[in-house]
Amino acid sequence: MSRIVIDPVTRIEGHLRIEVEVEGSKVTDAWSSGTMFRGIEKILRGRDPREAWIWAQRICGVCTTVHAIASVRAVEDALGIEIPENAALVRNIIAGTQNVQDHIIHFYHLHALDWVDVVSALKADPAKTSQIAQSISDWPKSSATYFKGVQDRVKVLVASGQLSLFSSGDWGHPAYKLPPEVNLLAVAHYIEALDVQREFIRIHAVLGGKNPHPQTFLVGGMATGMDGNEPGAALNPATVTLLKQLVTNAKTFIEQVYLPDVVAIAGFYKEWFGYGQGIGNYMAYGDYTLGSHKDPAGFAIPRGMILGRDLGTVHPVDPGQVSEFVTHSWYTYAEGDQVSKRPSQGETSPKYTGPAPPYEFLHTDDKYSWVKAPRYDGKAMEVGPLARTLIAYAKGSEPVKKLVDGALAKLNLPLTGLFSTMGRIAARALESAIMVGHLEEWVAKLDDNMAHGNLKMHNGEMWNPDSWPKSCQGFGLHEAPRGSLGHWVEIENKKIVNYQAVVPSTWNAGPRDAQGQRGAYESSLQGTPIADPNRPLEVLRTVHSFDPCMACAVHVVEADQAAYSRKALVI
Amino acid sequence: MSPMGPFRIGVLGLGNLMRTDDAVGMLTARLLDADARLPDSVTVIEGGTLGLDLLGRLDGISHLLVLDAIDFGAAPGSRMKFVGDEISRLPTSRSVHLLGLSDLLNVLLLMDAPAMEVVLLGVQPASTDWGTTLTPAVEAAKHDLTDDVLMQITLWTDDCQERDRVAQPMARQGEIAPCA
Repeated sequence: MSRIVIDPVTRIEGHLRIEVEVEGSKVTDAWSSGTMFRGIEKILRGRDPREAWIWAQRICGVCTTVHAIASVRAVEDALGIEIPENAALVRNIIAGTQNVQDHIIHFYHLHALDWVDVVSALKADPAKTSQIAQSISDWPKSSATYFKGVQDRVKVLVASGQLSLFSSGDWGHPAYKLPPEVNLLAVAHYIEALDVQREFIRIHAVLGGKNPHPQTFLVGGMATGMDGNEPGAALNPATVTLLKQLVTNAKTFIEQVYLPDVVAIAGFYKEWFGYGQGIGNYMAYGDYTLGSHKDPAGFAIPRGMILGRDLGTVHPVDPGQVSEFVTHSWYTYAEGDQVSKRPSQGETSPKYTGPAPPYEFLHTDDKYSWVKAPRYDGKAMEVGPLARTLIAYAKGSEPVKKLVDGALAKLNLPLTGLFSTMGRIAARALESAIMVGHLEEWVAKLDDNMAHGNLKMHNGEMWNPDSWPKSCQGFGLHEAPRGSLGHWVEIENKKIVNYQAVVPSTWNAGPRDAQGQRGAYESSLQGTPIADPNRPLEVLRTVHSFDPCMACAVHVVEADQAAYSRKALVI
Repeated sequence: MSPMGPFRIGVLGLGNLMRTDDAVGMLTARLLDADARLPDSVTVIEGGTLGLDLLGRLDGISHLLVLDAIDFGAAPGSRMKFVGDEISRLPTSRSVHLLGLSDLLNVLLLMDAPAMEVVLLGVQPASTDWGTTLTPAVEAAKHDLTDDVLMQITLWTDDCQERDRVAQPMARQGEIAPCA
């Protein structure tokens, strides 16, 4: 038996360490550790709740909008504010855009290199790649000349000895299974996707003034100006036309490139529909409505919970059942570390008891992570695109069923294949296709409202703090790209007295709880095959399939000077 | 690489404003933005710690001047100019942001973007610890760095005008952008 450490895990956002125990070329146990401290909650205390979103949004530089959305919703919930339909539309478009862009970046730029061997692509016959491309899609960039051009440019990069953004792959590893021609196809689309994501995110600049970190969120609605007769307004006929164009372009890319690529690549890795199953409990708060967030029936992404992989029953979700353990996290609770606390009464008291660096292994029997361990009614949950897709499927959503069944039929796989590493990857692609369809509807609705003179973007009834109760509490939920996100706020005398965020990567990357139940990463790594203990690519495949975002999970504010890691390339 | 598209200079300041001397590129970019000597046609970009998010900002730029703190082992506040291959040959560990910069340039290469002439002006930091002020040596170098930038802009503009003079007829037909 041996222990393998991966630290830092790269091609993610933030700082993650994975320790796995290996016996006979298989992972027998795993520990997931966030290696930086969170502290945004402390920064928010004493501040005006109307500005909380500006700070909270800075929890992360990748999914920049999600904490702003959860934050304004939490404050609106506490103060009893409902927002106008236009504001709901703009928030949905901003969030949906974030979701789709994140999924594209994750598949092509953060995860593909676990499956695609860039160096092998140099050996491909571009004419054969062209044939394959044309057999799976109508995407126009598919000529042999085009693929030859891509291959030549990659050759220049590899010859320079500066693999640059391709430097983190395990080139030549026996677990790579794609033929050179498919590798070349994927590399070409990796490069095209760089341009697609850059162009698509202009939606945030239109609606939010800038990207990253749009600046138009507002408690009570949005500060995005809308006026059909005012060319200077953020939303006018010209910018709505631009939004429509950007959404259409993304839709074409998803349908003609992203989805066919996922099916093509997955076809060479069918055994990965068997690895990485994980906890088997899936949860989604649900999101995306034009009505009140108090009414989940109107959610385009449904709320629900699946237990023990039983798709026959979708259980209801009550956000009041969420609580967090710190038994194995570097925090203490006033009531002791064996209890769990609801975020509404949450506590953030850091206490590092791990080994002094440099160290070989963490004390995994004791505390070993800066991430807390959230549980729903005491149960560990997986959140994210796979959870959302399974819940929508089990609830009978026709568009989701059609997409899922279609993809599985092409791969000749049963529905149970989705409970896996590759299932997470497929779910993300399918969700992008669903979401981009919603984006079309929302932009059209916004256009329609503008044409009919419905321009209301903000509800200012409760803006004046003198109208607030002396004390109140609220929570805001959002389905972020990586899963269910919740912010809890307590307001007293017009100021924040407590703030807690339970984020998707806390659910997925969290450590064990008081009962020893593993978090989602830890659980999903059981049984992972290891061909070469010195290059544990297979472990990375499953961890990356969750799209880790550790800045979210640990809300970086305090860095150990020596351990400060370069993260200029955060894409 | 030799620039092919219309002539347009961009000045890209890199650095983390919360890590003392690492901020020198960003702070110099801000200084330049407010400097009356800077030609109006030059675009100043505050790159901060962004990596590939900067792709969209480099659209249409033919000559890129990058300002950043670089540890090249000299006395704090020393300045060094890097061009062409020297930029990609710099060990990535020498600058907090160079990973992002060299990756950005490689991405442009892979994307078959129009070639861009790139010059990197580096300042040797004394410290990159937490802090929002520059150390004295680097603070002093900031003003010299501003002069270096203006000189490089003059060099590029002169070159471009020389090119225009040779290619006068084409320039008159509007096929080559003016070097203003």
